[in-house]
Amino acid sequence: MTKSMKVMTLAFLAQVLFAGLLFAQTNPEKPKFTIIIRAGNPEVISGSNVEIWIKTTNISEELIPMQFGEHGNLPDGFRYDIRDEQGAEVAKTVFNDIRPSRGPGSHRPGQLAPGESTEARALISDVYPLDRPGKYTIRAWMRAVDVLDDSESNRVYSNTITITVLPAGSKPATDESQPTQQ
Amino acid sequence: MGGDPKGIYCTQTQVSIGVDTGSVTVSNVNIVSTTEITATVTPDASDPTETACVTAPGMTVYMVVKAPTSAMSAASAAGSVCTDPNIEPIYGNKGIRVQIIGCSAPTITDVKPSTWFAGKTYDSVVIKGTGFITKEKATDACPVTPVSITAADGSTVPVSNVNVESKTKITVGVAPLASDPTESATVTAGITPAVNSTQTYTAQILGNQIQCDPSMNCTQPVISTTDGSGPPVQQADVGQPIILSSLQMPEGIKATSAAWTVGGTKIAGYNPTTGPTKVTRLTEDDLKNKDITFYWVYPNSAIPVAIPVTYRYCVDIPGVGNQCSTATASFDLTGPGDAQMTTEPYDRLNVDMIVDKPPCLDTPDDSDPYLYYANASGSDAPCPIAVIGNPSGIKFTQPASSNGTYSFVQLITSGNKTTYISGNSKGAYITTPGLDGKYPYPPLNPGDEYVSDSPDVPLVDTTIYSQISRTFSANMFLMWKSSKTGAIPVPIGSQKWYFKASTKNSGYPSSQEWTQPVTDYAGKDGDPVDYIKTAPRQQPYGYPIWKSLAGRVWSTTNANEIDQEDEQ
Repeated sequence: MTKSMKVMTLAFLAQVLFAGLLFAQTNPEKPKFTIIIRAGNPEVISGSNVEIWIKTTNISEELIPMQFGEHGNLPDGFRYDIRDEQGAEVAKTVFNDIRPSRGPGSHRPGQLAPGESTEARALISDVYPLDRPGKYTIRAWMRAVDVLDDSESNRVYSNTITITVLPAGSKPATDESQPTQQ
Repeated sequence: MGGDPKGIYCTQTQVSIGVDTGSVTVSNVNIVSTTEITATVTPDASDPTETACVTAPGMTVYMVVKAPTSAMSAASAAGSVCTDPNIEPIYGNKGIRVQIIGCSAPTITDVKPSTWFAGKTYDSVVIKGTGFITKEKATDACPVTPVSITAADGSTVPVSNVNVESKTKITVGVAPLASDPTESATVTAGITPAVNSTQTYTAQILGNQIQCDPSMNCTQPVISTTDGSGPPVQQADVGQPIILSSLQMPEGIKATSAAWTVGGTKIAGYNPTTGPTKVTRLTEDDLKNKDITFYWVYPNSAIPVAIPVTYRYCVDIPGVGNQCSTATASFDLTGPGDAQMTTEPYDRLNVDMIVDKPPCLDTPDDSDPYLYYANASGSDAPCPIAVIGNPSGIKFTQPASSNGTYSFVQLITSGNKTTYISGNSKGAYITTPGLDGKYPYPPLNPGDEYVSDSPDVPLVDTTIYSQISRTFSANMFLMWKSSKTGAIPVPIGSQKWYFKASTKNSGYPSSQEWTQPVTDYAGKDGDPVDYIKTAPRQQPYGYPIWKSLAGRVWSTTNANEIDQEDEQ
């Protein structure tokens, strides 16, 4: 075995070992936290802000890392699965100006204690085009384990909610949701 | 009174006495001689003040039958036979009329005033009625008509100077005790407990008390005085719900005015949420309610002077006029003391490489340059997890507290914006003022006694920028909440802080080569300009209030303004 082959073999083994480590850490069937989302307002007029609240709860018995910061109007760490009435995934908005995809904010890395929850607001209409009337289903998700793996096996999803976007000039049937009592 | 004597049946060994409703019991008849009989006569208790016919065949009898002095009981009447030469015989030796002397039953028809404030003295309460016995008419058997007043709880209401002016009028002084609650009282005229010899009348005692809710653990339920004496001082915490009640007005009694007065800085409520949050003030209507709940925000001054609370109401009492009573309570308030937060600001903004994409591996490919109000030391990016609990931005530390908990609230104030320039294109994120993130502002780690902030701006995006600036201003409040049940947070102090920084990309438009920013900042601990120890004079009472969460809005419409302010 040449020296280069040995190096390649070691590299391969290292990758396999690392992958195994990742697999061992990733266990979405037993996540350490849950994500519950709710609509700020389940019915909005086209062009209005679409706001959801994301509540993360540590259901493990140990401290878990958590990003408490936000950038733009979105909390750090979450990503979204948004679909229209046909089930098609809604892509992020492409702006025709120099607007950054990730606005100013604050780095706030911390830890969430066992049993504790934290809730944050996300103005998802800032980054997703939700002004076309219709119903949209929304899920938020976060990596189950903080590793570079966005596969389904490493995702913890929230519940799914539906938000109805009404044509401009309509009147929503529901009042705005109550503010969160901390 | 008795009518015609009934027929009397007499024998030599019997004496009979009859009244219009029956016979008076006679026993132990003893014919002492031909001119004298002795007997025991027992008038019935239900027949006071009657005439009766005494007969003894062939004899002239002089008798008077006396009623008992306190009660017309048969037992006490027994043996009370005596002769009385003043009684004139009516029917000669066929019989005589005698008088059964009993106390007449008084009747109360009116009492004025019949409404009295507890704790006050009414010198001349007029009792009108019938059958009162004046001093002149009084006998051993029937003394001057007494007056007694008993409160509903059985306690005796002090009376004085009872003056039976006539058989229809009594004047009396009445002085209900201050401790008497609002309740009825029974006015009694006559000798109790003789049946039919008393008459009662219901009057009203109007008490005035401040009662303390059991949850407050006061020294006693009633914490007020009405006689001007100092009430017992109650201990309470700022932010603790003060739940007080006054007495229910009796049915039919309407106060002409009623109001609480509360010293110190007080509010009706403060319920912080991520939505609109304001201080609820105590209104005039709140102060007119029978019961009141409020919160003190600040303790009494350094000199321990108790804070008064009064409840005063007035009633138009017929015969007396408008009468008022004031109940006063007193509180000594405790807060967290004079301790304030300490602030450790950062002294500049940096352009740092930060790993903002998990995982936290030391891989430079995952790091990007940020305009950062903190120090990401080293050439490579610090992993976010690596700085858990030890951010290098501004740090606010709470003082120690033994009887409550501290929390922080940060408000983003006006003037916040982040400006982006890419060649000739310009735009800015304008931050609308409001609550920063959530209430309360959370510590990064459980149990941390401090909070921190480290604002940043990602410098790299799909657009390559030539210059980015950020102006930031915020106000961090320290709040304290008593451990008492239901307590609300009260403000302790606030620290304004701000920075302004700008950085240029010398690699524009092809690469990212950001210069270290020009910085201006403030927010030092104890800065006399920026640090504020909250006080009642600060509206609203030093509390942080907001309409909504702070949010960022993209704008390109004020480009000129951005140009002037941010281009350097």
